[in-house]
Amino acid sequence: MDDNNKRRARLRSRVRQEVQTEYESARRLMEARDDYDPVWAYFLDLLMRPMDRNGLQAAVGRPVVEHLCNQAPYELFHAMGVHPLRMASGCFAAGRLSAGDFPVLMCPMLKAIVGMQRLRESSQTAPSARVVPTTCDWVVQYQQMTDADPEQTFFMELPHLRESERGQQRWLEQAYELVRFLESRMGVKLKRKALASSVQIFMRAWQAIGRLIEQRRAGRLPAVWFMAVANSFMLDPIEPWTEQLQRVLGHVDAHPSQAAGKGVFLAGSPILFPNFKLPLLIEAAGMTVLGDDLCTSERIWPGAVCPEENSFHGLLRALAERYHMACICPTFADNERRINTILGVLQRYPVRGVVHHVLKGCHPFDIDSFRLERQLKSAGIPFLRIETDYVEEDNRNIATRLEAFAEI
Amino acid sequence: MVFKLRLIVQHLFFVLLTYGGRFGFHMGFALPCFSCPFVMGCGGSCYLLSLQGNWWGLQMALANWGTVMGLQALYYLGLFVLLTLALNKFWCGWICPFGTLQDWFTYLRRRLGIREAQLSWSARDRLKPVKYILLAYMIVVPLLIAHAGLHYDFHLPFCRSICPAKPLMPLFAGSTRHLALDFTNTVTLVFSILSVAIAGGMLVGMFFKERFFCLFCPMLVLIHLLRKISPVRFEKEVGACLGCGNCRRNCPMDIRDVHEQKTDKAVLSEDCMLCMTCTESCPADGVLSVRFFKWRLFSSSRDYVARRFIKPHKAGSVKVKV
Ligand code: SF4
Ligand code: SF4
Ligand code: SF4
Repeated sequence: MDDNNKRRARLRSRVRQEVQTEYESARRLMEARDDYDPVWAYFLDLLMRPMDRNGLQAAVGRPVVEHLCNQAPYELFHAMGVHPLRMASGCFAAGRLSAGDFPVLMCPMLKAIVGMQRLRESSQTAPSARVVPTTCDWVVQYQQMTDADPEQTFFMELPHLRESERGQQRWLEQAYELVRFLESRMGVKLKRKALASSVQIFMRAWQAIGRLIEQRRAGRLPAVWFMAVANSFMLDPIEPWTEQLQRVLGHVDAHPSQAAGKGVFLAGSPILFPNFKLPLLIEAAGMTVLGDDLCTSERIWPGAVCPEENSFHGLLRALAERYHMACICPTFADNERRINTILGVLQRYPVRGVVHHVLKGCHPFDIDSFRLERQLKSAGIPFLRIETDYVEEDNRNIATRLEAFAEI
Repeated sequence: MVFKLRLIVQHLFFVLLTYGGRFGFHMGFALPCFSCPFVMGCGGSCYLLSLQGNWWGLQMALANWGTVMGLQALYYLGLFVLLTLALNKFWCGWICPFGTLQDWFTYLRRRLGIREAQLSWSARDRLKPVKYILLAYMIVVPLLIAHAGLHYDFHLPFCRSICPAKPLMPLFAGSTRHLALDFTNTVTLVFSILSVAIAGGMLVGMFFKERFFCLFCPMLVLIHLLRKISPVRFEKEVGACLGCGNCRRNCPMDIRDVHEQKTDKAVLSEDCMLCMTCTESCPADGVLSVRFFKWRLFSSSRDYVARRFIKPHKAGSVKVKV
């Protein structure tokens, strides 16, 4: 082993240790909360799984296909007997492992994703394939950042216009392409019945999470617990996960916590375990997040799959549209309806303002936040933009701004 | 469930309007739906027949206003207006027996797992004026007969040469005679060939495309003219729409307006038949609602979508507490 390699191996083992510590301390923090209950243990266990890919693989019991972003339909993977696992990470330590190779102002989530992949030892199970919907500029560079095998990587070309006929057709074609890609890699044929039953299974999860969303909006569930549940999606097979969600619903029904302080809506860039700093700081500033439009939280399940046509084509079209048209990711050009989700929550629930999270380097949300700010302020709704990344150094500063916001 | 209620209403009216006359039930001669009087023993008659009829049509009212005949034509018109005001497009989506017949074809196709034929947006838009042309045809030809000496063989032009209900609906009363060609003269022959050919084409169209005939139906135009003063309202809370597109994809009439509307709350569009499928598939609480005066008949909701689209739990799969 030459010096370079040795140094890298040393760094890797140090970072692995740090990653472990980061995940564990985040977990301990959650367990030490007054509102902790054993019902949450299952979800906290799942949140630890990304560190142990072999364990995860064994738990899901199917070949794992990794994907980036929310646009690749989960139901489709599931119907083909594979387990979709979203590559996403909120781990600061993992990001440090890759930071040196990329621009300083690159999305910290992508840095963390690449870092987590580099940490994976050769003994750990590699994914069977990877699916990358071409959302933002960082994501489209995914392959060259990771040297992923092009044969095993499928880029779903995401049309940035959703309300045009051409955009919708192209996306449907991409869904067909994805089916072909997975069929050729996995050697299985996707059947209409399997797809229909998979749609049902995920709709049940959608229904249950809808109830949890309602509980949260009504102020009966602290934001961090909601996020813990949401972040753990697909870190276990979908059916037991949904069952556990039912237990949680029962628990929240029986022990509703009372919303402390002013309700806010949390918008913007994704927030991922173990980095729950923003929701925790919001809470510490005396506010409660009653709703959000984060793609790692409520926006994992936007819209609903409602197929009137149950032919294979009809099902695939319903799926494709749910993942394309219902998503309000600012990588889309025609995204003026993003504000509607916020206004909808604002009208029905006691939400007093919007906190907009911008991950440093997340340009789409950064740009979009200015438009949103104009729209909301003109409607008299307080708005606060928080730009940060996975570091903790700016916590005090953010806390002060949040406290001032809570006073408004 | 709205769709179940709709199925019951549709079938009830199918039976009443197809066989009602045999039991003394008749809803008059000005119905805003294709309840075809060529069906022996039907329970009500489509207004388009009254509109085109030389002795009771619009041209008669125009030529003889003030006389008994003229008044009778106006009476039919007035009745049609009243019925249309009361229920507006519900006549299309919930009552029209020919619409129900089309829905049977769709049901069959879906059962067979055959995919629906999809029209491109531009093709769909190009079809829109056809119903106006048909309406003009059924108004102008009788006027020409009455005032410009056009031969009487051209009478009831729409019923006899275009409407697929005329050859098809009498089949439910056991009559095949409207499928026969009429060799009396060239006009009758051409009319009857057209009628049978269109009916055949429609059967194929109706199988592959939901409510295929409705895309061309001139009754939609007439009903739509009165929408502004009808108490029936179809509204959208535009500021809360997620843009998910369920309403557009599931609309049997391929209407894009409901999805696209971002400013105006009235979304009862020209081709809408108030089947409410869009409202049933909209997961945004209260975004789409159908009202009668100020009363809300039905509103979209996430809860309803879950009940409508999630099949009852079977053993072995996950149970979800509702
Ligand atoms: S033929 Fe058609 S238009 Fe004429 S009365 Fe019958 S249903 Fe109405
Ligand atoms: S717009 Fe809605 S109510 Fe009207 S026809 Fe389409 S699905 Fe039915
Ligand atoms: S289904 Fe509802 S939320 Fe979705 S686009 Fe239509 S109106 Fe908007």
